[in-house]
Amino acid sequence: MAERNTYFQDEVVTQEKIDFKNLKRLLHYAAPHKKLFAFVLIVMLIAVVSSMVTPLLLRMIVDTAIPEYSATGEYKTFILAVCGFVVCGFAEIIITYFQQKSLGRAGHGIIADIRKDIFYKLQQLPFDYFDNRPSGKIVVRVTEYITELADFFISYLMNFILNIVKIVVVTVFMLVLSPVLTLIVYAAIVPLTACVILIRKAIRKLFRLNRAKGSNRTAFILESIMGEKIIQNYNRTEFNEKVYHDLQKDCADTWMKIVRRNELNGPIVGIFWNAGTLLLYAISFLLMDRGIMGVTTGVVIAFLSYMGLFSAPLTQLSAIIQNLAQVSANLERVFETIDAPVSIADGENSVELKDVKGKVDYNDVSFSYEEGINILEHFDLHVRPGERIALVGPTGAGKTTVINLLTRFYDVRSGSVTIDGIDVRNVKLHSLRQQVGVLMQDPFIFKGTVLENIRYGRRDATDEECIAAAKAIFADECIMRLPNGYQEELAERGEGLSAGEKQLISFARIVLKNPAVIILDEATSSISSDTELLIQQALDVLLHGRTSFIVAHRLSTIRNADRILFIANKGIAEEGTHEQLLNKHGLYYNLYKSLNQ
Amino acid sequence: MSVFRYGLRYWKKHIPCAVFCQLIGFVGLTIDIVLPLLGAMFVDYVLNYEGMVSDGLFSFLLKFGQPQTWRLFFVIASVFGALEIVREAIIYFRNVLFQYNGLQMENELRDVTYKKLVELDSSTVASYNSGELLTTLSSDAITIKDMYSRTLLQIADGFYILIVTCVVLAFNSVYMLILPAVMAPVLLVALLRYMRAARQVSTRIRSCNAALNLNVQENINAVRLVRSFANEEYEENKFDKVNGDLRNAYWKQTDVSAKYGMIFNSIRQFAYVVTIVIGTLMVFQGHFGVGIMTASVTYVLRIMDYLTQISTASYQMQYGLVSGERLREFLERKTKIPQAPHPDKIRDNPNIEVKNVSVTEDGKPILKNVSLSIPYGKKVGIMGGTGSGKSVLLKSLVRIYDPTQGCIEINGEDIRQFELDDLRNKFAYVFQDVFLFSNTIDANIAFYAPYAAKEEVMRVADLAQAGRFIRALPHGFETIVGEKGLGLSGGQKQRISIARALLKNAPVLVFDDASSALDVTTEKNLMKSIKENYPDRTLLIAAHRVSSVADCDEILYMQDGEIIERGTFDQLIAANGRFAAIYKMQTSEEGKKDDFSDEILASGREE
Repeated sequence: MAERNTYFQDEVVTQEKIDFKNLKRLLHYAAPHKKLFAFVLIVMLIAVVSSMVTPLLLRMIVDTAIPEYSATGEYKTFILAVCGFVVCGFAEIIITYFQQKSLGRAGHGIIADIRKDIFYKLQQLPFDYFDNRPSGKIVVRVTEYITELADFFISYLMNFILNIVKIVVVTVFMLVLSPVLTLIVYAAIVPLTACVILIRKAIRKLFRLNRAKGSNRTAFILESIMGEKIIQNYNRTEFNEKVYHDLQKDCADTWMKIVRRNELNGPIVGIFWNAGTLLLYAISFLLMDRGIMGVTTGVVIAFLSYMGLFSAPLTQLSAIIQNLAQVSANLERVFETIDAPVSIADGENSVELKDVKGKVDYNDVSFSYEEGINILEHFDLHVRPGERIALVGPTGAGKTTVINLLTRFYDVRSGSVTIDGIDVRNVKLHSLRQQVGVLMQDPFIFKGTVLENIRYGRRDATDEECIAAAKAIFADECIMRLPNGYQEELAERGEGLSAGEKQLISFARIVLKNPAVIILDEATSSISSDTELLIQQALDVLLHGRTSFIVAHRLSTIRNADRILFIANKGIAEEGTHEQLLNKHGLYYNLYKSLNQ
Repeated sequence: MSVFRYGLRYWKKHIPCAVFCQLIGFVGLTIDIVLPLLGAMFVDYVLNYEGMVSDGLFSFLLKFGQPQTWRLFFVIASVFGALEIVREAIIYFRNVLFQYNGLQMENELRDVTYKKLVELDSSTVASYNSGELLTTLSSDAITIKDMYSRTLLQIADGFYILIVTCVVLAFNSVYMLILPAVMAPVLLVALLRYMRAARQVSTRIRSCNAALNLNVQENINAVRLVRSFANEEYEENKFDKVNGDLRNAYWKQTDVSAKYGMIFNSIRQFAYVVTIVIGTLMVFQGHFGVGIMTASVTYVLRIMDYLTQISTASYQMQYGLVSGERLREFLERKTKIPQAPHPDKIRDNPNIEVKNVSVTEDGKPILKNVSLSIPYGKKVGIMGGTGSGKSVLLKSLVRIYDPTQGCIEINGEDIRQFELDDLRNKFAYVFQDVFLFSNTIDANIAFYAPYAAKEEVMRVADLAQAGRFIRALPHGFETIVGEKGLGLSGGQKQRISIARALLKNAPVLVFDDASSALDVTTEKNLMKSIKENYPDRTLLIAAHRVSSVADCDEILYMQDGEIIERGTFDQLIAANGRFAAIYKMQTSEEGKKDDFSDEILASGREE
C-alpha cells in the first residue's frame, strides 16, 4: 500500500513560483478560439483608444470651446466635441456588450473542455491513484478548481493584455502632451510596483496552503456524509463537530493571513497615486509659474484625466496578478491529474478478442505492487477452456493479484498472461474487459432504477434481456417484491438494499454481459443461506462451459472446482482436485484437517 | 425576503461590528468624495486664478494663502495628503475587519450545518444527493456570508456615496442634479428586471453544479465497477451531459449579464454626455468655473458608477438568496427521529421489550407486528433471507427506524423518551456494510473513544480476531486505510469494525450480519472470545449461518418482516420447519459447515 493522504494531511505543495508553464498550457485551451480572442482584443483596443480620446475632447472644451464662446459667442468647437463624445459613447457600449458576451461564452466553453479532459483522464488512471487519496480531493479538482478558472478567460487574460496596452497608449499620449509631467507620473509608479510585487510574493504560498486546507475540509465533509450512521451510532457527533470546527478554523486562519496582506494593495496604490497627483500639481505650478510653454491649465486637466485612466489599469493589473497566483495553485492540482501516468493502456497494435475459447495461460509471471516485494515469482499456470479454477491460500498470498493480472487491473512485471494465446497487453482493454467478467466483493449500486443498474452490464441490452438476466439468477422474485419492481429507484450507494439484494443485482449484470471468462472474488460470502442455494445453482449454469477463477472460502464451491490452486510462497504451492490434494498430505490437507477439529 | 430575514439571525450578532466598519468606511468614502474638490481648488486657485469667488467646501482654506502662491499650494497639499493617508488607513482597517467579521459568520454557519448533518436520521440524509449536501455544507455558507458581509455593504456604500455625492453636487449647482434624478427611476426599473433574471440564472447554475458533483463522485467511487464492465465510454457520455448543462447555464448567465450590462452602460454614457453639455453651458453662462465643471462631471460619473455597483451587488445577492433558501430548507428539515423534549436517561442495564412493533417505510411494511423480550444478558439469534426484516428489527432498537405501530421499551420506558445519545451509548452496533474512515486502523477502532489507550485498541483487535493480520501489515495499527478500507479483504474489514464495536464496551452488542465474510472457524473463535470476555452482555446476532446462532437463548426465523419460527435450537430442529431445512442444507455433505478462514490459511503459510 502506497502512502495515503487523509483529510488531516495537507497535500504537499511542490512548486514555489507562479508556474508559467501551467499558464501557457491553459492558454492552449484557448487556441481553438484564437480568432475570437484576437477579434475581441482588437475591438477592445478600439474602445481603449476611444476612452483616450475623451480627455482630449474635454481638453478641447476647456482650452478651446469655452474661450471661443467667451470671445466670439461661437460654439462650433463645442458641438464638435459633443459629437465626439457621442460617438465614443456608442462605441464603448457596443464594444463592451460584444466583449462581455463573447468572452463569457468562450470562457465557459473552454473550462467545460478542461473539465472534460480531466474527467476523461480519470477514466484511464490506474487504481492506486484512487486508492491513495480520499475521493473528496479528486472530486474538487474536477468541480471547484475548474469553475474558478473561468474568470481567467473571461476577464484576466484580456484585461491583462488590455491594461498593458492602455498603460502604453496613455503613456504615449502623456509624453506627447508633456514629457516632464510624464516623468513625474512614472516616478510614482516604480516604487508602487515594487511594493505590489513584494506583497504578491508573500501571498503566493499562503494561497496554496489555503487551497490544501480547503480540500481537507471538503474530504472530511464527504466522509461525514457517507459514514453518518457510524458517526451517530458511535456517539461521535460532538467529537466530529469539534474536528470540523478545527478544520474550518485552520482554513479561516490561513485566509485571514491572506486578507491582511492582500488588502494592503489598495491603500498602497492609493497613496502612491495621490502622492503622484500632488507632485503633478506642484511641478505644474512650478512650470506654469516659470511660464514654461506647453503646460496650460488644459494640459494639467487632461493629464489628470490620463492619470485617472492610468490608475484603473494599474489596480486591475495587480489584482489580476494576484488572481493568477490562485489560478496557478488550482492549475497545479488539475494538471497533476491530467498528467498522471496511465500505466495500463492499449498498445498500438492491440486487437479485439473474437470467438474467445477461454484458454488462459500465465507464463513465468512475476509481480509486485511495490518495488522489491514480489507477490508472485515465476508463476506458471495453464488453464483449459471451460475449466473451473479455485484459488485458496493465506491473505496476501496473491490470489486476488492473480485474477487482477488477468483483467489488466495491474500489469505483470515480467512474463505474460495470455488469453487464447494472445498476451492481454496486446488486447484492447475494452475488449478484454468485455470478455472477462468480474464479480467484486463489494457491489456498487448507483442512483437509478433497478433496471438501469442491471443494464450496466451491457449498455445495449433491452428491458426483456435485463429481466431475463435477473430471472436466470433468481433475483426476479426479490426485485418484484420492491414497490416498483424493476422501476424501483435505488438511492445513491444502494442505501436501503440489503447486501444480498445488492449482490443479486451485480450478479444479473454479469449474466447480461455474458463474458467468456468469469472471475469471482469472494463474492458469495454475504448472501443469506436460502438465497445462496439458488445462486449456487445459477452459478453452476453460468459457469458451465466457461473458464472461471474463483477466490472463495466455501468448501462446497472449492470442491466443485476442476482444479484447486493453493497459492502461497509467491506461487502455486499445491494443485489438484480436492481428493488429490488431500492425498498429498500437504498444506491443503493440513488445512482441511484443522477445520475438522 | 423571508430567506433574508432567516439569515439575519446568524448575521445579527455581527451587525454592530459591521455597522462600525460601515461608519468608518463612510468617513473614508466621504474623503474620497471631497478630495476632487481639493483638486479643483488646485486648478481654480493655484494654477489658474480667474478671480472667481467660491463658497465651496474648502473655501475656508483660502484664508491661509493667496491664490497662485506656494503657500496656498502647501496648505491645500497638506490637507490633501492628510486626508488621503487617513482614508487609506481607514479603508485597510475596514476591509480586514469586514472579512474577519464575515468569516465569523461563515464559521458559525458551517458549525450549524454540520451539526444538523450528524443529527439528522440516516434515511433523511440518504434522501439528499451528496453533491447537493456538499454544496449546502460548504459553498452555500460562503455565498451567504458574502451576501451579508460584502454585497449588502457594497449596496450600503453605494447608497451612501450616492446621497453624499448628490449633496456635494447640489452644493455647487442644483441644475446638475437634474440628470441623475431623471436617470434614477429608469435605472431602478432595469435593476428590478435584472434581479429577477439573475435569480433564475443562479438557481439553475446551482442545481447543475450539484448534479456535476454527484456525477463525478459516483464515478470516482465506482471506479472498479466502471473498469470491470469497460463502461468508461458510458460514464463519459453521462458526464458530457451534466458538463454541458452546467456550461449552458453559465452561458445563459453571460447573456443576461451582457444584456443588462449594455442597458446600464447606455444609461451611464448618456448621463456622461449630457452632464458635459449642461456643465459647459453653465460655464458659458458664468455660473461656475471650469474646475467645478470638470469636478461635476466626475461626480455625475461617479454617481452612475455607484448606481451600477448597486445593481451588480444586487445581482450577486441573488446567488446569496438562492443559497440561503437551500440552507434554510436544510436547517429546518425535521429529523424523522426526534428526541423527546425532556429526555430521560437509562439507568442500570437495559432490559429490552419489543412490543408488537411494525415499521412502514415509503408505504411498504418492512416489519410486521414483532414482539420480543430481551432481558439483559440474553443471547438472541435472528435468521432470515434477504428482505426478511432482521436488520430492520435490530435498527429499530437504536432508533434508526421508529416503529409506526407498537413500541420498544427499555426498563419499562419507551425508548423514544430517552436521550438519543444515551440510548446509542447502550448499543455497540456492527453494521452489515462496513465503513472505515480515511485514517489509521488504530483511529478507526478507537472511533468511539479517540483517546483510548493503544493497549486497549490492541486488546479488542485480538478479541475480534483481527490482531494477527493487523500486526502483519507494514505499518501495523498505524496503517492508513481509505474510505472503503481498500487493500483489506472483506473479512478483515469486518473484523476491524467488530473491534470498533468491542472498544465501545456497551451493554448490548449487535451483530447485524456482521460476520458474513468470516469463515466458520474465525467466527467460532470470535464468539468464544466475546462470550469469555463479556459473559453477561446482551448479544443480538443476525446471521445467515446456523452455526452463528446455534447456542443462543432464543432464535428467531424471519421472513417478509415477520417472525415465523422461534425457539431454542433444539425446539426449532424438532419443529422441522424452515430453520431445520436450512440447518440440514448447511451441514450436509454439499454445504459442509467448515470454510477456510484467513487465520487458518495463514497458519498454513510457510515462512
